[in-house]
Amino acid sequence: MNNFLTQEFTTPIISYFTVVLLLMSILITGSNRLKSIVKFYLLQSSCLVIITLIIGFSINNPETLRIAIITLLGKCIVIPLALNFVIDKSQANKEVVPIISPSTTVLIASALIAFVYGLSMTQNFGRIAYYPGLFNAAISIILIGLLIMISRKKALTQIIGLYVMENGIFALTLDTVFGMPFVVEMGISLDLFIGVLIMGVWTLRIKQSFDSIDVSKLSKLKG
Amino acid sequence: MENNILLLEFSILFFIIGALFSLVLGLYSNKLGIYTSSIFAIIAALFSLLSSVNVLLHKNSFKIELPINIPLLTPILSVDPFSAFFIFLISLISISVSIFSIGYLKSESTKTSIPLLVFLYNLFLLSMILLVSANDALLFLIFWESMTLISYGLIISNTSSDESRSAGFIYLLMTHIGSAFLLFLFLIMANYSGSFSFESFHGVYKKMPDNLNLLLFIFALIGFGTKAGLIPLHIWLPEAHPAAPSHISALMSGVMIKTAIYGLLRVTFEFLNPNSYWWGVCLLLVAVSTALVGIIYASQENDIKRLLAYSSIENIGIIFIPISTGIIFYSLRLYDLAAISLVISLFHTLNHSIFKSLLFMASGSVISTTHTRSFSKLGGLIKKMPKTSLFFLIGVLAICAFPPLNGFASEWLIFQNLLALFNTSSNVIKTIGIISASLLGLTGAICIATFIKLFSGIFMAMPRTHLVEYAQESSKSMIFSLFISSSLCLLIGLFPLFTISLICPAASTLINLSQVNSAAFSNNQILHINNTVSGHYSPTLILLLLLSFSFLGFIIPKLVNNKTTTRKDETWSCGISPKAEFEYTPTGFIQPIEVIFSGLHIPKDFYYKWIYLPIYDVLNKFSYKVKTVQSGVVQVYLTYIFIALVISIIWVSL
Amino acid sequence: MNIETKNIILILSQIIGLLLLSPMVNSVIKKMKGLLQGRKGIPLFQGYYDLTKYFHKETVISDQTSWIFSTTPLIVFSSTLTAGLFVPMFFEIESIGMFGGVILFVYLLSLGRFFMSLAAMEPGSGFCGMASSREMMLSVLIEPVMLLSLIVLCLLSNSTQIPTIITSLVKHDLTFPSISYVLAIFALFIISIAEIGRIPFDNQETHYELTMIHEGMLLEYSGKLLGLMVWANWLKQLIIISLICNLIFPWGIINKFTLISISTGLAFYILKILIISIIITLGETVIAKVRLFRVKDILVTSFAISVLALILVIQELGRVSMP
Repeated sequence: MNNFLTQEFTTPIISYFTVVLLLMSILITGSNRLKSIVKFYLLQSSCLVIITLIIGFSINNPETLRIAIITLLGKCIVIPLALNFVIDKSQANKEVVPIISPSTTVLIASALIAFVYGLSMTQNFGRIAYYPGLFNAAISIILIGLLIMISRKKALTQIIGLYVMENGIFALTLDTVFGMPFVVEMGISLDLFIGVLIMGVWTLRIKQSFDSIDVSKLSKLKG
Repeated sequence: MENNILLLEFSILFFIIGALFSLVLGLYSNKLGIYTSSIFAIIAALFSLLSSVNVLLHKNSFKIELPINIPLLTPILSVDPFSAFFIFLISLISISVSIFSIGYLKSESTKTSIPLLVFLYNLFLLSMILLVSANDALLFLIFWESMTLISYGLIISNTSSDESRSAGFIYLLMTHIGSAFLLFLFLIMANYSGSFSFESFHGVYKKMPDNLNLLLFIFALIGFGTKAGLIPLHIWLPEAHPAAPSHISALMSGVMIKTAIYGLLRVTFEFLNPNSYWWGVCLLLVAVSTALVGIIYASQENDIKRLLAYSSIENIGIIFIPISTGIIFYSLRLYDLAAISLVISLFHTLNHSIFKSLLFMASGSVISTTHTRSFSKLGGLIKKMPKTSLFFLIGVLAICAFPPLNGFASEWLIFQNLLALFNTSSNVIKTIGIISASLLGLTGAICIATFIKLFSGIFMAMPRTHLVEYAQESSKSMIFSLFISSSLCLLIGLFPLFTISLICPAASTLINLSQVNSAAFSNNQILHINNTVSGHYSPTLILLLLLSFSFLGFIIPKLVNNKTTTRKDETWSCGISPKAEFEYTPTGFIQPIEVIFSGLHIPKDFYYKWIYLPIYDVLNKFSYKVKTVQSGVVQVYLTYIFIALVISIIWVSL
Repeated sequence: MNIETKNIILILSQIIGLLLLSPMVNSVIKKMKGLLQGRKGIPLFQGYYDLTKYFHKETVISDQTSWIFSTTPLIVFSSTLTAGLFVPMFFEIESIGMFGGVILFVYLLSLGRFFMSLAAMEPGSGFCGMASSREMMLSVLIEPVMLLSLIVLCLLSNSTQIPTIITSLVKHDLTFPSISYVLAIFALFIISIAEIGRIPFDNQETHYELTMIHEGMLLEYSGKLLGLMVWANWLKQLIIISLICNLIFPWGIINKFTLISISTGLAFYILKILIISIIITLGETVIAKVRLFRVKDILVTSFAISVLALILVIQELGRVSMP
């Protein structure tokens, strides 16, 4: 198929957006304002959409276009709005109470990235990937998402960690099988969206019961 | 050649005579003992200095046969350029320290027993010179032990304090653990080479399996690392250095711990074969963390000498950085770069010896006049001790690595050396090398804060306690030796190439595959390393620029208006007359940094709890198990002898 | 004209240029900030007025101080100016590479900072001591990141000289400036804002002693000495801005000296400085100063960004050299 978007042309562009993905996950770990975290998440998701579009055009796959639109709707509009709504409701903007301090988390995150890029030197790592840079970034982002969930106390930041992780998984599938099947992606998006609703309700309930959204307070529920 | 032998023999003779004479005369009169010891030490050190410079300049080596006869042991001293460099270092520092000790001991004579101190002092210097020229493993160990024991004697010479005794004990314990490893190291090597002489050790790695090669390297690292103060083997250092009298601390920090560098380099590059770059990478991690943790500890201290001792640990870490890059380059067969790294590490060793002994001596002056080591009790001494404070400031500037002093010259080279790691092919080395460079910058920045804390605590603002009231400027000999050391700091800083040309033969002796000379470090007489991310540094030009711009800054306001006046008035403190209580204390000064690095600040009992106690427990349990063998019944012991005899008969007959 | 005279003339013009332009740049930033806040702002020549005023005033120094306090302004001034020689304004000085590279640059700046902090401890005033302590905390965080980001740039151009870094950027293919380069510049930009002591790290216009960092260290200075300190600070600001703007827009560094090239080079340089100043002004207007211990998180984040840049540099350069 003749296409002006050859791999030589797309690789550098994709590598730019890949780095933005990584940069945003570093900024999310380093930030302690929920609102700015949501902004960074929004930027990260938009980059993902752009990458999806580029890949979609380069392989002439109309399916990816649909995925891109759904992602745009879900990750760039609905989820940030919902998150902002929950933050406003629970008045929790400044309350990123970390278990590990943000700066230490950032250092660990950069060590993780170094680790993943170091692994990428090995033979089998990223063999199936179309763009190796994106593959490395995706793995790093999944790990960083987990790290965020580990290192923060608040329910809200934990769910953001989950979203970051999901972005990583999305990028990974994009790079290996050019996007998930539509149904799967829909399912995951729906799951996450329901997740944010439940989390929102949950957060508000925790706040009502404990006057705080600190997850560690939940350990009181244990008998 | 003949001259060199004669000079070194004379120097040894003078040390011995000095030791004996000063002991005898010291018993008669303290003052006489001090003078004899120092003068003999200075003369002897001058002799050995000349001899070593001769060797370094002409790149020859010589041997002296000692008139002693001990079985198993070839009593030969051999001075090759590498040993000569260390003799040079020891003699250089001991000259200024000896001059210092004249004035210092006079003021300290009430606290310590002078005859013993001056006797041991000369022997201490002698043992170090003999150590670095020993050409036989057993001889080396003998001198190593005698150096340790003599320095132990010097530490506990401060008879009045319990602190000295407990510090001495930890010192003795730790260094003996180190010595045990060295003994194993040399025994195993002798087993493969068939003799204890160092010549037979050359290339001994060819005869042994690869794993043993690595094991011996680790043994050497533990053995010498204990003496050098690598973390976590450093625990004796901050106890022992402050407990000794200040001129001894200067020698211990400036010279004694450097003998460990001598041993490690000799063993690693001459006897063993660093065949995998992982040795270097791991050592680099140890080195960087030693530097970082050392300086973080230093920044928390409020005791002048403990702070300096911790800063010695930091500098040992910095010295080990180029050593590990040297190992990396060596294992990658880049012998020229390896030799360059070694030169850099020796250069920093020399620089650290000079400025650290300067700082220890200057703080010795402060301590002997104010009788306290805690600098949060001092303050305002710059007005009482203007000269000492000036030299102290030069030492501080050198240790903080500011251009154009010597500390910067070597630190700049270390940065270039780390950048050179980028030319290797491994991504791990590249990443770790560059991040180490950044962490070295971090260490430097904390070092600056630490020494501002120290200097401002001792010398600046208002006196915090009455201890300062009776302080006075130190005696002429002390000032003179401080002057010598600080001018050395400046001269080496301004003309690094001359010093490097002295060091180069030492490094090429060690790595005989490479003939490095100072041309590798210069481009038109400007400091520059080839084959790296290129860069130049010209200290003289920088000094010239700094001076001329200072003049510019002086003259411009004058040109604008020549008639302004200067008036002194009290410090503004919100309308109340200022008091010492309003000042920022040294502890307060460092507090923000303490908060930032609280995660890195490992509590000091960590090492005892998690490293030493578990080992101790295991040994203890083992000993209890072995104890059952000791029944106390004579017949049982006789049975042991019987069994041993039978076994040995069988062994022999087989 | 032989090379040496040419170089001396260039060095002299760099010094004069830095000295003359630095008060102006500071005034421009202040003026723009004033305009943005709906005030008239200060006159553009306020910097020069201030300096002449300081040089005419009587110097009152604390009676607790020694020679260190009164020589510190000279040392700070000279070390900053020396560091300024390494950063090209809009022309290349060939011999400058022979004095030193980025490492020397960083250490010269920290030499000035060392003496400033040391001198601030001297009068024994609580405010000065506090400012000095905080300055040291900032410098501990700034120095490693500054070194790392500059070293990444050095690795990209295989040279530690700032002019060479800039010129080698122009020679490369500019349709796709390397991503690691962008990241390193990003980290360097954050660090530079901290280095010149602006919001969100330090507020230069505060009048409240407890919030001062840089200003606090100058509390006990007056007259000529204060004038020199203030001037040195403006110099540092101009040097850092020149560094950043020449790295972001590496074009327009001239090495042939005709009337046209000089005038276009100068015009371009002023334009670049203006752009950076506008960014700084906007930042100062929009962002609030962060709490002191939050500064750590920002600076550590920029450290992480430079590490990312380093990893990418290694990837990129590794790929190029592989056959």
